[in-house]
Amino acid sequence: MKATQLSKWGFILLAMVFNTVAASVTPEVVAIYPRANELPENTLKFQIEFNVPMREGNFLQHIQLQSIDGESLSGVFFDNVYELWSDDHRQITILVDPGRVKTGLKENLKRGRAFTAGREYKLSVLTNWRSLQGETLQKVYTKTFTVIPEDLESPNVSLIKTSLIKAGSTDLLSITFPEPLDEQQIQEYVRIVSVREHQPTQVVQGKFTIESFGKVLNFVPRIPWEANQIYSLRIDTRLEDLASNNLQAKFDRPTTEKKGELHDQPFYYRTLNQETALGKGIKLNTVNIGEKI
Amino acid sequence: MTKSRTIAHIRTLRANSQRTIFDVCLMMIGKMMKTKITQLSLAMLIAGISGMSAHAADNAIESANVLEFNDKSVLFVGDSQGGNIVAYETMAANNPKKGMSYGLFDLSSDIEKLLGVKNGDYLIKDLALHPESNEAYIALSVIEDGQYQPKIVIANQAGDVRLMDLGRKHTTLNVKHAPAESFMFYDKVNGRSLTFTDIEYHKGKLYISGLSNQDFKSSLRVADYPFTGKASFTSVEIYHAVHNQNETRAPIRTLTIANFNGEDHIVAAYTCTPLVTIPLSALKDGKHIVGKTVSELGYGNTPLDMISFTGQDMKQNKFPAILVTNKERQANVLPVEGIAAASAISTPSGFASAGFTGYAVPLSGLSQVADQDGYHIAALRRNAESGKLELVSYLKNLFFRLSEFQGEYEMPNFSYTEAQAKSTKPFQDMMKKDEGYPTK
Repeated sequence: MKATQLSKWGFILLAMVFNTVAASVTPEVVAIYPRANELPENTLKFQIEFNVPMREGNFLQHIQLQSIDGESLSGVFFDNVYELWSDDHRQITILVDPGRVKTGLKENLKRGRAFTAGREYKLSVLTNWRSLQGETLQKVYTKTFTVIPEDLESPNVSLIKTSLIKAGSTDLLSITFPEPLDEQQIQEYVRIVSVREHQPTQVVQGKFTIESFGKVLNFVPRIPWEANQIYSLRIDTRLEDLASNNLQAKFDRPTTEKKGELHDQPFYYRTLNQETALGKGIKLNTVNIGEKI
Repeated sequence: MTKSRTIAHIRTLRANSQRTIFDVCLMMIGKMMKTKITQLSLAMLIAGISGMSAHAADNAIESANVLEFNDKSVLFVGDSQGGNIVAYETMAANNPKKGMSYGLFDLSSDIEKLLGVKNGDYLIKDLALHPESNEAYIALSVIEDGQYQPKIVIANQAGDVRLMDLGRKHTTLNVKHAPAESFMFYDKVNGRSLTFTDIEYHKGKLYISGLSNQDFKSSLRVADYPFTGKASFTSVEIYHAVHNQNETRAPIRTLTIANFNGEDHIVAAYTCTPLVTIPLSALKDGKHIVGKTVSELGYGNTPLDMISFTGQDMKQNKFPAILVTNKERQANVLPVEGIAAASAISTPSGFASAGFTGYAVPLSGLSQVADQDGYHIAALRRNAESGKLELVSYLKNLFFRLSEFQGEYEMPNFSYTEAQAKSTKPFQDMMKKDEGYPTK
């Protein structure tokens, strides 16, 4: 047998072993979002992330919502015919019935919100949920949270704090939001961009990490921050807080109220503070609402 | 195996085996070889030789979530995973039982035999009836090789089932948002998805509603058919006025088109249960549109589908109507005249009556519903006792199957009174004949 054939059979053997390993992965819950321990009364969505692709269908049979003293609560989640899975089937989005969350709807008026401020609740993911490979969860995963008063306001962008960036370094940029924001959306909607003359805006490559359950976002650039370079924080205005108020508008907008400053603006930009190359001065912080760069 | 399919495979392999020896070794070997191409080839080799590439390379869709025919024989498939609407040109097969009622009471066994799968390893996603042949097209997600694969099964009234070739002639419209910059967020691939919830074909245009797993909003996409280009769609943001003090955003769950007050309107059921009307002419703007809320469908009520049809009362008067079927509750028929006349719910107290709700009909326990022909709607349902999948038809305007009720009429000694013989028996005979039973 030639060496190449040996190598081929070796690969086949390896593949068989690896596939067996892959097929027998035990499903686990990686996270339940929002990860914050305090959630507003009008929280609209939860997301459950798994380590492997999971089976679709009858999701309500696989979760349980209880008050902290063990009373089961039903009729809280929207019985969605179309379950909202990520494309890789590792994450499902579960909506709290919007008919109860939204102010002024019949059920909101009649039954009130599902959650009551000041109380504690437990959301459990049950062991009967199976992966695509047919394996079940080995234990119940539970998120306990305390409900705080409703949040009917858009995130206030003027209260976003950004740390100083130091030219010539790859020092961490820390962005602190005024409240925890949707962690899944942060991943897609927040970027650091650089502006070069006569060139389109460039997305600065680097690594983000989320801290404090969506209240703090840290960024480390792959290459050092450049002097004489304008950097901006860019946020897609669809970014929502935990009660689905986004940067453009509140979740429920009174018609008598003036539309928000960022209404119809696709992005919010803020120029970042930067130390000069010599470290002697600091550029003024300018806030550019909806500025087209 | 196409390159995109291979990449999809690698993603799935990674998803399946994340943090396993397989992934680590694949990455290590890839790193040793120093090239991504080698890594890709290696994955192709492993996937190929281990029997994980059993998918047709010419499959035009990654998923089949929503089915809709135009008025001829073009089948639109909402492919949520691919972010596409795919239009297939289908052939109207010879169907000797065209026009007859469906009564397939063990469709699950036929499907499982056809696909070689067992119960529990597939999901029913949608149902649509071919407008010319009246054959039923059923969209499925089938677990194969550790991932969901789309299949469309075609069934006719005789109980023949076959698979549709998903590689057949088609055109594609990409609807998904442009992907975010190629940017790995702490080494994770973004989990955004858009799930199509309804597609309505009307006068050369497609009206497409969808739910995002991330943003809670209502966007309606409108596209010309035949597709004129990859980005030839309009995305409209629709709010609905909850009452005259508030307007709010929410996704559309299902929709249909109805003509009233001299123009075509979208009638849309929202996830938060309001029923909202929007004139098609208002969609030109493409921005912020407020729909008129005419009704609330009731709490805990997930609308399954909406079908525009010609209703008929006991006096044979015909009228345009909309049938709203629900996941758990019985269905509602909304005469279009009533929708047109309904005033907007403008005050919170207006919700006490929940606006215009039409009248209830006894359809319930259905998983999918589709318009069949001038006389029938077709529905998929699970038998409550056996769990078997059934495909049955209901006569429009009656909305129940006589053979599923035990009444005194079927007792051996029962005889119709003169009045019953004139009023009840003709209906019963018609239903018995339609459902394939002899008349007395």
